[in-house]
Amino acid sequence: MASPILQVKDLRTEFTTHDGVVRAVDGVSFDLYPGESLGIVGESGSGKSVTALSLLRLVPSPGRVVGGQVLFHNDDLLQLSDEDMREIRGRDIAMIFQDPQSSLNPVLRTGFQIAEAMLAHQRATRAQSLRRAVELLKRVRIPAAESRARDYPHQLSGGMRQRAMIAMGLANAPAILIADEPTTALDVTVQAQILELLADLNQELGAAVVMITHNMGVVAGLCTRVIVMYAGKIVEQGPVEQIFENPQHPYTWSLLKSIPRVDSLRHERLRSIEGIAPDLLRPPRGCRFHPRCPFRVEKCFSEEPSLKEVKPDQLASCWVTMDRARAEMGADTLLDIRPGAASGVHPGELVD
Amino acid sequence: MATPATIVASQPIAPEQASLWSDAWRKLRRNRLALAGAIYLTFVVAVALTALVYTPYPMAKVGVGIPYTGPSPEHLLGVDTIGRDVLSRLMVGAQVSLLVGVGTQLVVLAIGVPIGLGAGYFRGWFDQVMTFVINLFYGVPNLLVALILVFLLGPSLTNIIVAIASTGWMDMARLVRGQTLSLRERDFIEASRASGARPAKILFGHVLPNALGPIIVQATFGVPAAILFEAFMSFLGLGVPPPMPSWGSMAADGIVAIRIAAYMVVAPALALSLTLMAFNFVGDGLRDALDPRQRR
Amino acid sequence: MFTRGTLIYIGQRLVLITLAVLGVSSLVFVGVHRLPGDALFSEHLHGTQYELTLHHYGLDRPLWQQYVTFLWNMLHGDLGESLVNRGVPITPIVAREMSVSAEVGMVALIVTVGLGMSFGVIAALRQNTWIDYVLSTTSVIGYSMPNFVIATFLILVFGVWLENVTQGNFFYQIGWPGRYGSIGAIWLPAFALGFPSASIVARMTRASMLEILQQDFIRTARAKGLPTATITIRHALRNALIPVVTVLGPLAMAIITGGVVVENIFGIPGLGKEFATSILNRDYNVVIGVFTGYAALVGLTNLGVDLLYVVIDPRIRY
Repeated sequence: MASPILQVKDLRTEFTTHDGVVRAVDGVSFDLYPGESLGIVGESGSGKSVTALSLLRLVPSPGRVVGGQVLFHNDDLLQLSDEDMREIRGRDIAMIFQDPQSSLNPVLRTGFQIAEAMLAHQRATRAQSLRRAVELLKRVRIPAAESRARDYPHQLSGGMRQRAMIAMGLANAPAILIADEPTTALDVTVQAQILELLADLNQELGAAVVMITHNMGVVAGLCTRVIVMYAGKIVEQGPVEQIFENPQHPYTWSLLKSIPRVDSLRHERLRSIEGIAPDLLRPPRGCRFHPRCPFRVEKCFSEEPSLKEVKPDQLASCWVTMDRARAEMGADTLLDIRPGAASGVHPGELVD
Repeated sequence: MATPATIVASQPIAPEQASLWSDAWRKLRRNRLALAGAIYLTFVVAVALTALVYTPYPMAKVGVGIPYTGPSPEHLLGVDTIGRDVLSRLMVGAQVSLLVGVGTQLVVLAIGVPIGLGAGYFRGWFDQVMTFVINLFYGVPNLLVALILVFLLGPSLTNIIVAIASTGWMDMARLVRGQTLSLRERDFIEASRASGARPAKILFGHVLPNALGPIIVQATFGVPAAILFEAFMSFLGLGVPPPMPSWGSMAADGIVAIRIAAYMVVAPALALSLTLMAFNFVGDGLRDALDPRQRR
Repeated sequence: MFTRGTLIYIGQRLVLITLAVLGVSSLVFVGVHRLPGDALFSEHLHGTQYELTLHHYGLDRPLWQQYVTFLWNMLHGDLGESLVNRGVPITPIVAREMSVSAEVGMVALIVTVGLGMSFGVIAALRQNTWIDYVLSTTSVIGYSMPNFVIATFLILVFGVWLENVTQGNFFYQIGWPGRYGSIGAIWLPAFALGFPSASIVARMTRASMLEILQQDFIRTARAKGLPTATITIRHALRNALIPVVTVLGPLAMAIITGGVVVENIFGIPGLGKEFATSILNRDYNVVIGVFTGYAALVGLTNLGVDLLYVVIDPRIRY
């Protein structure tokens, strides 16, 4: 396999708040290969967005990247000067955001905002950049691109705005495009179109796409590899097909199980994962997922598991893994998925 | 497998519910500028009250000292152009300022709030007429209107209060109208209406309490505006009639002597500026404290 | 930008302004005629001369007739004749003084916005540093001080203490090209007029910049790799202008109002000074003229501000 263009090693990002330190990203490591599409999945508060922001050093205060390395072409982005970092942003690594309505400046014309990305980095003239912006708008399939370029963001529909943002991201043909929940704020039908667009662009341009989302369906449609995050840590990662077919971490398993299926029987209840996301100020001891895990064992309460290869190319951090849960705890036929329901282990019975 | 899980004791579930007012009070106490302002204002009120019973010299008595004398142990702030004690006049001037400031706002509240409520709630022709009248009042600079009113009615404290209030009620009415317009769509108002409550009850029992925050802030800012207004008018000679001293008229009198006796202007100007500043600090503090958008 | 809709809007506003001006003048007309004693009276004219003068001004006719004549003249732009200065038509005087007040007001407004926004931006960018505290405190002092206090202080400093520098030069002469060169002619009065408003603008700009800098589109701009200066000026400041423009109307009003006092202190021959003089002299015709001038000034200023809003914020269209 080709060498990775991005290597994230033990990334740590913290938020220093009034009540304490929140470790939003607590030791995240992964590689990104040229041209691939990687999904980062997790619920709100899992640290997926902060991870992405950390890569470009855009974490808002009171947050700071406090440790680790982000190697891009052998340069550690975290050690670069502000000016050098600025050059990388938008040119080599671009990022687009969730809500195109608020992410575009309302008082500047759309075409100009795209051209700006080029003006800031290349030596193109203003006229050239504006022309290229129109081309980009056509590339992202916006009809009547010339007049759209002269419009202000509020004159465009949600889908068009997001396409314009994608155009902005691709303006300088970056090697990596990070998309932070690009479809969440859009209508369902438009979502599908945007995802299709991103998939095509990924193929055509060869830019690696990092797709951040809480929606497993998006990952299934677009990505080749996926990283599952929970409470600031990676709990599972690997090829999409493999993970969808045979998830090893209980969290991943629960996520997949909770997607309602068209072909499910009517009397089957909708399942959701019990409990709420953990408080990152005082994360649970041991495995962070154990308070909500149906398959936990004693070890999960006290020792934190680390990422291990549980199948070829698939890493998970779990003491139990789903293979064992299926074999010993009857996971496949489980009806009650409350914490500890399958393994029968509860806090009160611990001998500590 | 059927064992019920033992739940580990954890912290209380929700933070204690604080009402808007206790929350606001907490935030206000932490605002040092507002606190300083409040302290200063208490001082001013104390001075004004003291002046009711005691001033070093009678404020109107001419010739208690040699005119144009600077500050001295007998006259802490000096003597003015016709021999009156500046300190005593300053003290009584505090009364005037406070009366005008607070008085006008009371009138503004009495006029502006009901009009605003009515216009915002009932809409229709009442709203149209009121908006038209409000815009009419905005057509001319308020200072001129007030000056003409005082000119017509004759200078007296009450007339001045009326004149200033009549140029200021529109802002309050507009504010209240806006608040009413947005509040009337809220569900709890619908619920009241549906349960048959009479408009007066809805307006005064539900809408008004919710709009109270911005109203209070507006009124608090209105006080220094009114004091400033009165100072303007006095400066132009149409303020409280002599011998009542107003800080504005004292400043106007003192300007002529600015080269030789600067203290005559400085004392009232300083008093005015500090008092206005104090009110503004308190107003700022109130506005920040009552702003529901800010957390903590 | 100036679409057909906008032009229609301007037309409508001009009509409204005319109506407002007529309305205001009528009110003043009626009000003034109920006042005891006018300029003529205080001249102690008697007998035939008094009657002749009354007749000359049409003051011997019934009120409603006078009003009709008054309206008719107004529509032709004729504001009548001064009661004090016999034979002097008021309209040209008012027009000239309007332009004077407008000019000083404009400079004050530029000071307001220019100085105010600069201070606000600097304070926002250097939030919580000593620069921020100094600027913020200065702002609060600025809008708490009555403009006549500031004016007096300026006169003290520049007219008395620094007399050798300025030679006590405070003359404002209409049409004098050097009036922008001399500090006392326009700059000091404009500063006294504008400083309180500038302080308000500074505070607003600071608050609005701070809020804007938290917005998503600023994050986008940074993600694009734009330089900080570009982000601050092109992205943040343009948006911060919007709330400032919304208060520009009331601020302009405050400046017009403040002009009444400041013109009198600095001896500027504008509407404010005329107002004071005419009231003193009981020259009621001129009083009506002054009010008319002010009404027109206010109307046009508000219209100008509303049009400015269109230029700044592309989301607004009439």
